Amino acid sequence: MTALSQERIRAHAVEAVRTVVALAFVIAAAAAALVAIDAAPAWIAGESRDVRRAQTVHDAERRLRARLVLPAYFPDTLAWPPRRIRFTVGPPGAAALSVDGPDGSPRLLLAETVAPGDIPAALVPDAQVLDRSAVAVGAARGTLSRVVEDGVTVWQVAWELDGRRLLLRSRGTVEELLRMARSARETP
Amino acid sequence: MVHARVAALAIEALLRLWRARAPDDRLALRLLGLGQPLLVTPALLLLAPQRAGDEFHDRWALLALRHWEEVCVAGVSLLTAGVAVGVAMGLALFLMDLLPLLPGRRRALPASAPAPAALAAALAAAAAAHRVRAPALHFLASRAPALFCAGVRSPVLVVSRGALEMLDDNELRAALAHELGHVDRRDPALSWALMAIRAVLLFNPVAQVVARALARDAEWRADERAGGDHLALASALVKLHRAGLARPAPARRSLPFAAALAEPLRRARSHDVEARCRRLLEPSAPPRLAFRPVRVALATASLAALSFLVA
Repeated sequence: MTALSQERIRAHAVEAVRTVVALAFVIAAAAAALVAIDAAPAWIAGESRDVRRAQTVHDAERRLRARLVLPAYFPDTLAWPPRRIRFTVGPPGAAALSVDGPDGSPRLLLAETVAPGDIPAALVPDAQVLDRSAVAVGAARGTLSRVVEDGVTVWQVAWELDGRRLLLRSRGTVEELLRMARSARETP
Repeated sequence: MVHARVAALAIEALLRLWRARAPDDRLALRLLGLGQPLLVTPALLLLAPQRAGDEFHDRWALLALRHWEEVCVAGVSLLTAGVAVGVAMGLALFLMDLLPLLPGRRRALPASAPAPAALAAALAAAAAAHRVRAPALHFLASRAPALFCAGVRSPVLVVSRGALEMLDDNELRAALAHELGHVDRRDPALSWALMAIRAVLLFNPVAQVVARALARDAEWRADERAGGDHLALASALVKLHRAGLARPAPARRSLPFAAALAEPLRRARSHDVEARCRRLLEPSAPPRLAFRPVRVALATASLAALSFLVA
């Protein structure tokens, strides 16, 4: 093989590598840009990219491909439908429903998974636990706590139902909260 | 629209990173960008219907446009607003080039006058030199400058007395060779095909912009095919452009290629002429891309994969 042909082979090899590297760079940059554009709505709303919003409970169920557990008892201190429905596809898939009172003030948070696993932290606002105790939620054992959220002390109950984790956090009375938790079942 | 935008931007980045400067290379790659919304997107819709499902949108898609529906400003989702702006831009760009072609706005080519023997001889010589069949000559007696080719099935070369008087022999030879380059590559037919694609992708502003870029590449390709005296071609180009700015041509060009660079875009046209002249004054033609078929295939596959993940 002559020096000239070796030189040509080397030049072609360099060009081939440059071609592939440039293409990989462009595609990677495009993919990163697409991910950033996809995440922008969540960032604007102050959420992480995983957290999506649904318009209705039915929409959230469709996108999670699972029925949500909702309290059958729903006091008239709460306004239906939820003001905000957020969900993550997981795994495990999870949803959080924020329900206001009739005056528009935040009253209740219902968060739940649709499969075994913890409720994602992104769906439940941070709160400081003051105390906790065991409580019966139907046949299940749950945890009743007093927590401080945004400077307000609220009641919270967490329990497990058929492998799904549920959490109710309410600014109402503890009796009302437990009654709602005990009436919770999958939507028909 | 998003597929087209992603493809067009990626192609522009590749043109720069691969240093693709030869017009044929640029045309091949840019056609990819134009083909994306026309071929790849419908193919994805047909072959992968699961992309329309919720799970794909929420779990697999790099970009799911429905997420932009979640952000509203003054009661309007940003997705709706973005689509509306895009559609308006696409329509405006298309109509800008379509209006001059509409029957009422289109001026018929004035009747042909007997062409000077020297011009017919120059055209025959240029055609022989480039081994191209000489198109029919349509000579205009007007003193306004005009030199372009027209006609899809039967190409004609339109030359006005004004252009003849303005150009010296070398410039005329170079300009005729440039127009023969258009005729040889069937650019008039290509320009109408591009216009048809633009009509199909009426609401897509990216497709409209890419189609215009393709028209520019076709001009560069004709410049290169003209070969010979690049300095004379640049000089002819500047003379005709300058005269055209001062005095409108006696016949409006009926080609979308030309319409793409028509009056509303006079400044852009001046910039294009400047860029073409700069290229013509370079000591040698830009090198062709090595492994072009492989590059095009790789880019096609990569862009299709990327498009698959945009829902």
